[in-house]
Amino acid sequence: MVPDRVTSRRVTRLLRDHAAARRPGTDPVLESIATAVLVEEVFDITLTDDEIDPVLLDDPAAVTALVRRHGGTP
Amino acid sequence: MCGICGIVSYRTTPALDLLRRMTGRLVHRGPDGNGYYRDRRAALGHTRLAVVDTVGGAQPLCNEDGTVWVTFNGEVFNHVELGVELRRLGHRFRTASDTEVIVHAWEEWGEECFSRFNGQWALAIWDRREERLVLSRDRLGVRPLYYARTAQGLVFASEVKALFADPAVPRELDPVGLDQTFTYWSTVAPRTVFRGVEQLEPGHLAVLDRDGLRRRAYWRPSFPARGQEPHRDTRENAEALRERLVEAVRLRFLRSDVPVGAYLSGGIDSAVTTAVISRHTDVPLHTFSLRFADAEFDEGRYQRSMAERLGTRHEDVVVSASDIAEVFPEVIRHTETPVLRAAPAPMFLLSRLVRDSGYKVVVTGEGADEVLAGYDLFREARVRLFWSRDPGSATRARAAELLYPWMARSPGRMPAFARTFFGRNLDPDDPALSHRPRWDSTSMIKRMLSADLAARLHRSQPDGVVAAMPPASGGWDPLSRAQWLELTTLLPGYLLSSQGDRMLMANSVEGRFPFLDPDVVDFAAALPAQDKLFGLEEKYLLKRAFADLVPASIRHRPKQPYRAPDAASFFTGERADWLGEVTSPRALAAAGVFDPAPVAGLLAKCERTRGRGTGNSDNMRLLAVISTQLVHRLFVAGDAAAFDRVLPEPGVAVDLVAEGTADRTVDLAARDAAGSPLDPAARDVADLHPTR
Repeated sequence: MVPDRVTSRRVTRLLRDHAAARRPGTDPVLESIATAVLVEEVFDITLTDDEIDPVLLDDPAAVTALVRRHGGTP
Repeated sequence: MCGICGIVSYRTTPALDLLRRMTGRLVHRGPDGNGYYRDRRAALGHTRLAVVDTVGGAQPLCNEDGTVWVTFNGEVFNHVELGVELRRLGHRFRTASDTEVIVHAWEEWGEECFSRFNGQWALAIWDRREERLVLSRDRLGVRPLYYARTAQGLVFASEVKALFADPAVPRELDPVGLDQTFTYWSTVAPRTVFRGVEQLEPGHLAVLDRDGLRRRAYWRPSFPARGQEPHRDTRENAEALRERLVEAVRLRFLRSDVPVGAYLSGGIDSAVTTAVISRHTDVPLHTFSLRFADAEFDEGRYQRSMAERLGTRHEDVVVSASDIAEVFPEVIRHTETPVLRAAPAPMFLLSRLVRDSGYKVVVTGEGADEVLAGYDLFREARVRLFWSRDPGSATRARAAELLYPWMARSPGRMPAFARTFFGRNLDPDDPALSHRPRWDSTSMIKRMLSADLAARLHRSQPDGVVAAMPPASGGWDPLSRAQWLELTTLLPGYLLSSQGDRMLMANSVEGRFPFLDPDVVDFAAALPAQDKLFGLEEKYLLKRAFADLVPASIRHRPKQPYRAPDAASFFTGERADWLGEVTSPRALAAAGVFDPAPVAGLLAKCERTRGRGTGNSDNMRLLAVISTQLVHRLFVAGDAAAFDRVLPEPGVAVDLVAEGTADRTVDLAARDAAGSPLDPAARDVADLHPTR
């Protein structure tokens, strides 16, 4: 089992790098879909539609919890 | 860069006049010199574009005793390091050329020598003692190499037109080759669009001896299993990529005895290569760009900003729709295969600018999109994979709106169409999930085929690019599988060929591609997918690795693929005479590829709209018709003698048959050591050719 802090650090860095690459003016819903694409790819998980949510996917703690819940592999 | 050709026959002595005709048809690839070698079983021809060892590197070239001969097109960039190693092993060199390194490397390491080459090549080695021919082509297919088996033996050449100098080679279109082209955008090696004409696969060698012809791979694109990538730290990977790319650029810029220029497209790839040249060399840099009169395609703003930032001497050519129509038949004369885009034509005009500016070598950013995942197709594949995890999800379906932001009719503006187009065949287990939309839309061309050809294709077996994927690919990341398909189909078959080598060599210009350096390619293949395609951010690691050298305006601009006006090029202004001729019902019937009725409908539609606003499918269908008809007119129906060119006096003329020394070995090195006032090539001639 990977410690929580490892996943948390990884998620924080991932979201930071993702935010840096973001193009301004994108629809927030589409932006959250782009984040979901990234999170699913990196952690090899499948999110539910409810979890593809702009507020949720902008929050490193929430994303860390999602990754843990879905058994993601860092 | 050069042109090569040859004949091997175990039944008769190869005809020298045929070899010279073949060589003459390649003179555009090598206007700086030509030469030949012949014995009782083999004849080798060469046209030379002198780039390395411009004085001593004339070809064909042999080993010390004249038993191993080579005719070589390309560059071995690490020839200096290999030469040091070979000298240490006791080999004696007469020139400073990379060609001679090939001869000695072959003597020392045999077939294993090709794995040691860092370069771009197509070559033939003739071993007189063994009466064995070896053909070899670089890993990714930068340089072309075609051959045809005849009743007498085998003929080979850099271009098909040279093979057609031999009347024994049939001049017919190959239905399966056309089928592949109208599916994958090009044939897949070893197939070509001509029946009986094959091409050596990239990364392969072929051996011909009295037992026949055998081919084998010495390199194949390969990827680690997903999750087993050896390098997983993105920051370290960025540094390592930069190190490898800087070395790859340096090798390609500095290993030349003539000045090297660079293409600047306005995108990140050529921005990286030119920035590295400026940062890591002291040589003044001359950059060249392609611009379009039509603002939809023009990237001049980004090109100028990069050129000004680097302080290069910059030139560009502005291409209009009518320019494309005017040169298109000449372009097809060089592609020797149908093309589904007009995009090669402006590249032809760009290389002409390079040549007119006094340059014959350019470094370009080609290959970065395949190696480091720059294409929209890779983003599209990731979106389709994301969507395929819940095909009924309306949220996931919206991911398609993130694709192709640069298009006037982008999925974001036409979401319903996007859902229909990208939502087809969403099978996550399909190894070609990435390529289905492209292949399906390209295959629309086949609805216009003549009844006869359609029936013949229906009877033929489907050709298996997917079936040819390595068994291990099932464990690869889906991005790796998509990259493998690109590296196997579009890169060698279209980008490096019709849009690359052929458009450069048409004007005697050599292209060099740092992103295709084997160290870069192997390193990139081993990267985790997320380092290349970070979510939907393409070429992520490249942008990160060169953030200090490439301005944010270029790094962060949405990827704009290189495109040119297609239908608009042929229908905006005055109609070119040749267009009406090749698309006439009579010409269509003669070629037998397309049904004249739907072609007439397509032409009428383009006429009505003057080619403006033509959709992707119609653009492809139109270009398929025009280019296929031109291929038929030029290569099948036309007079093959139209390709003949008069050759100047050869610099190397070795005819052991005429001299009657075909059974002897000749110690050239021993005679060199005795001292001769002539250069090595001239000594070869003086020693071996009785007429000089």
